[in-house]
Amino acid sequence: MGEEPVPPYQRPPLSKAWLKGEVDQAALELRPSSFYSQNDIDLRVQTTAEAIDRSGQTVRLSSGTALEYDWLILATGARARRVPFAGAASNTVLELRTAADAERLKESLRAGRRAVIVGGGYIGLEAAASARALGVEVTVIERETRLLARVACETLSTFFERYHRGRGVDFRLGHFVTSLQHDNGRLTEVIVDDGERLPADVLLVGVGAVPNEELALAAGLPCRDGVLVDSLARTVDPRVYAIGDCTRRPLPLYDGHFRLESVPNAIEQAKQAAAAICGRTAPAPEPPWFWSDQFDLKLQIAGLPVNATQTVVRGDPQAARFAIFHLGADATVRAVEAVNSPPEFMMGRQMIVARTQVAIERLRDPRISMREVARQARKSCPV
Amino acid sequence: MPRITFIAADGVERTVEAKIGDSVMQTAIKNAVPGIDADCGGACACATCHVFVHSSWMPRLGEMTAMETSMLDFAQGVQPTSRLSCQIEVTESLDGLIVSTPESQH
Repeated sequence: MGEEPVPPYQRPPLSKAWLKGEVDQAALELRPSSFYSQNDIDLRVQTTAEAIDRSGQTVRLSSGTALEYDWLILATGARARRVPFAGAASNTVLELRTAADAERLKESLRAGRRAVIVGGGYIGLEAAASARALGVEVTVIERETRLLARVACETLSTFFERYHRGRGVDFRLGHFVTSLQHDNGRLTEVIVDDGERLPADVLLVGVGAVPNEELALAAGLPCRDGVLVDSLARTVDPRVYAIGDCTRRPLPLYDGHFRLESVPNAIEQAKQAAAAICGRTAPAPEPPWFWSDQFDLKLQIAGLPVNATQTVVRGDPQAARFAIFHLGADATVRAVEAVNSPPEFMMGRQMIVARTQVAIERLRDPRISMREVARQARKSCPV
Repeated sequence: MPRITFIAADGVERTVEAKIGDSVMQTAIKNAVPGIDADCGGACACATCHVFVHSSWMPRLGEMTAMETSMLDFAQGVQPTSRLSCQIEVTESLDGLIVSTPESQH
C-alpha cells in the first residue's frame, strides 16, 4: 500500500530527464499496472497505514479496516525537510519528492522566469541544471559555504560550483533565506539574510530529507533518525522488516550505521528482506552507490569516505573528466567520486569490495588504465 | 509491433511485443521479463541491464556511446556481444531480436 494516488514510479528522473521533458510519465512507471495483478500483488494506492499492532500482527489502514500479516515490510521512505520562512504562503514554496511535486515544479519552470532554489545538494543542483535547460534564470542559496557539503568532498564542490556558474547558475553560498515577499498571493521576492532581495517567480526548497519513521516509532520499534535494521533489513521484531530511505542500516564494509538515500540502497535492502522471508541466501553485500546527472555531467559515486585519510585526484577537473579516490591509511580504496569517468567508478566499486590496496602514484596517472592499476595492485597486495 | 525474445540464464525463452521508441530494457521491465534489473532506471549508470545480443543482430544495433562502452568494459562477464539494454532503442527493424540475460542478473 502507498499513500500516493499512483502505482510505484521512478523518482530519480523527476529532477532530471522528466523535468526537462525528455521522458514522459509512462516511462517513469516502475512496473506496468498489469504487473501487479499478474503477480498476485494486491496494490492499494491512496491508502495510509495508521498503526501497527505487533502483538496482533495487524496493520490498521486509513479506510478503517485492518490487514493481518505474517511479515510486514516498512518502505515508508523519507519526506522533504521543511524550513519555515517568514511571510511564506504555503502554495508558493515548492519541494521535490513526489510526482505531484514535480508536476507543480514543471508547470512553474517556464523560459524567462526566475527561480530561487534553497539548498545546494543533489536535488537543488539537478533542478538548477534542468531549469537552466528550460531557459529559467536560477539562483541557488546554500547555508554552507560550499555545495554538496554533506555528501561530497571539497574538490567536487568547487568543480560543480564552477561548472554551474559557467552555465548561468548564480550562487549565494554561506547564506540563507529570511523571508518571502508576495503580491496578491504571488511570490515576488526572496529576501536573504544579508538583506539582499532576489526577484523570484519560483521557489524550490531542497534541504534534505526526514525519514518517515513515525509508524515504526509508535509501534515501539527502535529508531535513530531512521528505523534501525540489521544486515538483512530486519527490525528488532522478527516479523517486521524495513527497507530504503526510512532505515538506518549497517554496512559490512564500513563501521557504523548509515541512512542512505538512494535507489540502489532500497533495491539491495528489498532483496535482503525478500531473501530472509523466503529462506533464501542473502545477496552479496554491495558498497553503497549513487549517481547524478547535471548538464552533460554524469557523476557516479561508490562507497563512503569513512576512515579515509587521503584523496587522490585522477584526471583533469578542467576537462570535466576526473575521479577522486578516497583511500584509507593502508591505501585501500574506501570511496570514489567519478565525473564522466565510468571506468574509475566501475573499477573503484570492485576495488572497494575487494579492499584493494593501490599504488597511489599509479592511480594518479591517467595514462595507466584502471585495469592496469587494479592488476598491479592485486599482484603486490593479494586480498 | 516488433517482437523481442529474451533467453534467461536457465534457457527459458520469452518473446514479447515491444513498443517502438522504448528501450530493450523498458520492454523487459514492462513485460516482467526476469534477468534485467535496471537499478538506475535507464540512466546508463549501473550496468544491471546487461544482455548478450545474438551475434547476427550485433551489427544491426548501431554504435555504442562512449559511456556505454566504458560502463561495459568494467561490467562482469562481458563478451563481445554484450550491450546495455537501456541503450538499445526499439525500432521496426529490430523485429525478431534475440538477447540472452546473464546469470548474475537472475
